[in-house]
Amino acid sequence: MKNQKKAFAEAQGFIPGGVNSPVRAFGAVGGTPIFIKSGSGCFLTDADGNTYVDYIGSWGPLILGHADPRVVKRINEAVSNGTSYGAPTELEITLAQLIKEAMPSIEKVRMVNSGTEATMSAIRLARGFTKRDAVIKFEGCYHGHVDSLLIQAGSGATTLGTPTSPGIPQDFVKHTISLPYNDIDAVNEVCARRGKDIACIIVEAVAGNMGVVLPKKGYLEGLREITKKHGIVLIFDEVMTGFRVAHGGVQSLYHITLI
Amino acid sequence: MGKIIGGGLPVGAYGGRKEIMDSISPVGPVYQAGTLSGNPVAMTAGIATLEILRDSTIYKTLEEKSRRLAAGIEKACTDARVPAFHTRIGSMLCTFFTDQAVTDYATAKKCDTRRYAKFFHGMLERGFYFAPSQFEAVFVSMAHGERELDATIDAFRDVIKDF
Repeated sequence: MKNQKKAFAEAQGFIPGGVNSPVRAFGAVGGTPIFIKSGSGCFLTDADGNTYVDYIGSWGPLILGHADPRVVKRINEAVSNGTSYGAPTELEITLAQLIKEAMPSIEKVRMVNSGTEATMSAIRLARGFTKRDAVIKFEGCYHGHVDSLLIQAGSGATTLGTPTSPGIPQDFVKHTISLPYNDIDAVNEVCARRGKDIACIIVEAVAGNMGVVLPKKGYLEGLREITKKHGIVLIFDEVMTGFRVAHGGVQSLYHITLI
Repeated sequence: MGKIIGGGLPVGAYGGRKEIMDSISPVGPVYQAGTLSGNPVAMTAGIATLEILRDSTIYKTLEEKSRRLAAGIEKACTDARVPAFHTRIGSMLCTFFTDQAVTDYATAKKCDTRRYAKFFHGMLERGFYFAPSQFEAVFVSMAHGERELDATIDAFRDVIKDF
């Protein structure tokens, strides 16, 4: 632990909490985070030379393991052609096609740089498209650190939620309705009253940010039915589950089309 | 979407039916843009990964690996009489240290997070890096071999025997 204790102390001098994303600081479990030197396959090696079998996989992306040689080779070739042009490339068409062929709900896709950016943009789009303001999300579902989604549920569906982080005005969450996950009646009840105000329902189809919580039988189908009925856009957050739980994500497993 | 589609580089994406997606600029009025969006390096990492994942045997193999790990963990908990609720879908799984079913946030919050912390450090000392929080997933990759999975189960047994 010698090098990483030192590294962690030093990091805290320059980086808030010593980390660039909070869970990495080991706050929930105590102790000093391990600092990684390298990864290969299912293994990580830390700054003191210890090796670990890794079950985090960078929080989900590394389904092939660390530094898969087939991927690394292609990245190396790409880098030598320039790293960014700010102009369209044929590569974007290829990736869009690979996503579209796997995901039953996708006819067109827009690339961004993170999951947070994807959910934030999807919500803006749903609001712009429906010309409505309200959004339903579910307690314990995390969709990145989008202002309007960092909300703690109020007591009961009629009480307004409050932001979970300072820096988010109450006004920014006043259009967000937070309901319990897996409770289709709660969704039905709110939509029966306010269906015409609701732009979208955003849900982690399989919740992966409160541990892994599976949808009850009929829950996702129920959401699809309610949103169809009220002209609400249904957003499946498949940041974690896309190409993970199946090639076509949760939507393919449950045969739910968002179209 | 995000994570896997970037093959380890920063990529997210959102998509849906044409009619909705065509409301985004420059076709439609809803604004959204990005300096590095769709950059060739991230696209290439995503393409390389998704091309490999087109092979349907991969998800079968991942399912087998994950099932092996999950079954081993579940049996370890039962044998040690450690109350736990296990969930899994494909290569994403979770062991909640609780004596009741977890179906939502309220039930998830009832987990014994101190026990999880003890479990986490026990596994780390033995060379197994799990998420430093009860409320995260365990991800199995194609690179996890039977040897590592079985060693994980053995370590798991060893760690929880003092619980």
